[in-house]
Amino acid sequence: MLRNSKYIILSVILVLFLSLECLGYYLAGRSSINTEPSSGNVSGQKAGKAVSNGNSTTLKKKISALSPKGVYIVIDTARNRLYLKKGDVTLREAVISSGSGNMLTDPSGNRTWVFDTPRGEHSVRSKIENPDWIKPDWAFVEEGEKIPSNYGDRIESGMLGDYALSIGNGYLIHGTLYKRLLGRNVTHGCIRVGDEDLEYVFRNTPIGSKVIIF
Amino acid sequence: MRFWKTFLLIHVFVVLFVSAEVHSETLKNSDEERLLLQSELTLAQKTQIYFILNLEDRKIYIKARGVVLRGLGLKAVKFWGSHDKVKLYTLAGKAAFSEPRREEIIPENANKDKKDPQPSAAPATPATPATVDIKALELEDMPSSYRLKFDNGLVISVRPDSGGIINGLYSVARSINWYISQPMLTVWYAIKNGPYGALNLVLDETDARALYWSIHEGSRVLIYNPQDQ
Repeated sequence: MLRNSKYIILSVILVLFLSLECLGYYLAGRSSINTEPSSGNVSGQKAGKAVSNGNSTTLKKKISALSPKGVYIVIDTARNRLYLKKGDVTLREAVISSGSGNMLTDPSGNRTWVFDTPRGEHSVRSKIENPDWIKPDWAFVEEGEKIPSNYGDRIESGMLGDYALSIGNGYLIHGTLYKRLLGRNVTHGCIRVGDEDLEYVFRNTPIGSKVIIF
Repeated sequence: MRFWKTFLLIHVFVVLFVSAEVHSETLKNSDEERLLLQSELTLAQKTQIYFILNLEDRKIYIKARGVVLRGLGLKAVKFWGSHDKVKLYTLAGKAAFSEPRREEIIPENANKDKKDPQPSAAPATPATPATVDIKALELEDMPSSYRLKFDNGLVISVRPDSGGIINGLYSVARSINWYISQPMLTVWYAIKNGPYGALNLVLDETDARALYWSIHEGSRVLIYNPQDQ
């Protein structure tokens, strides 16, 4: 009797399980994962409008028109590579060092810095020959030193190589003394480039050129 | 003679039917292409990096302003649930068994190698980068097996393409699990009144890590999936 009831329970569980499986297969085939359109949904009405808005050639032209004009820089932070490009042509490929992703907290606990290279689209704001390094607060905090009140105490010469290209917010594409670390993620967010590559990039990249970092 | 007339008539009908099918298919493809391009146009107008998961080409394109920054090849693709041919998603989160963690720099013990050049630091002598121990987040620290959760109930599982008997057996186990668990999850989400879909992608190990590196919360991903389930 007890044995029979065990079989019955097992059978019921099996039947329930199989029913749920069948229901799952049925629902997967029937319902759409897009039944609740989000703000990013391009299907439905919007898509219909889009379809009637222009043909593929026009759309391709519109997308193509958005691509950077002239020379631009692409930086792959995963592989630590810099590509100087013009259209689809790569003019120069260079090994670089980009952000370490490390964190530093001010001992007072008021500020935290994350040393990532900023991703997205930027542009060359300025170009500097023989740049000086204006040490930011984090450099003093990291060394356990007091942050100077005098601006002149922040300036250090010869640390950034022969050239620098500013991409805004204090981030630079500059040279390095630590050539052995090229290809590794070791910086505080700046992009370090070897001497020859840096000179080529500096000479061939006008101010205003796009810098795409991913 | 009557036989030949009938034959000719049938032949004409068949040709017309086939050409109508081809025309309809071309129109459908053309609409899909326009929809894909229109969706990409909205993404390319912004300064953000975006991703196109093209299941027809079996590629993931990392793009900005319409320019392909990098293409990652897909070794295998499996999907669950019905879907739109073209659909834009926003990444809600990433989940991995072992997630990379940022190193906290302790000012007193700061590693000299990681610092920007110091006045006292002499130019480094050439050395093999592999021999330098660096505490930083690098590509090798990224997981190659993880899940990407999107805003609209879509879950993408990414895993590396790896050989060997053990990995082969593991792959079979994962496949069995896929066909058992997906219907259950579908029912569960249906009870919760939410949409559910799943994609399983197999990439080269380095590409899988590179995808994890590049994609982050809020990333826009345009999925083009012309195949029927």
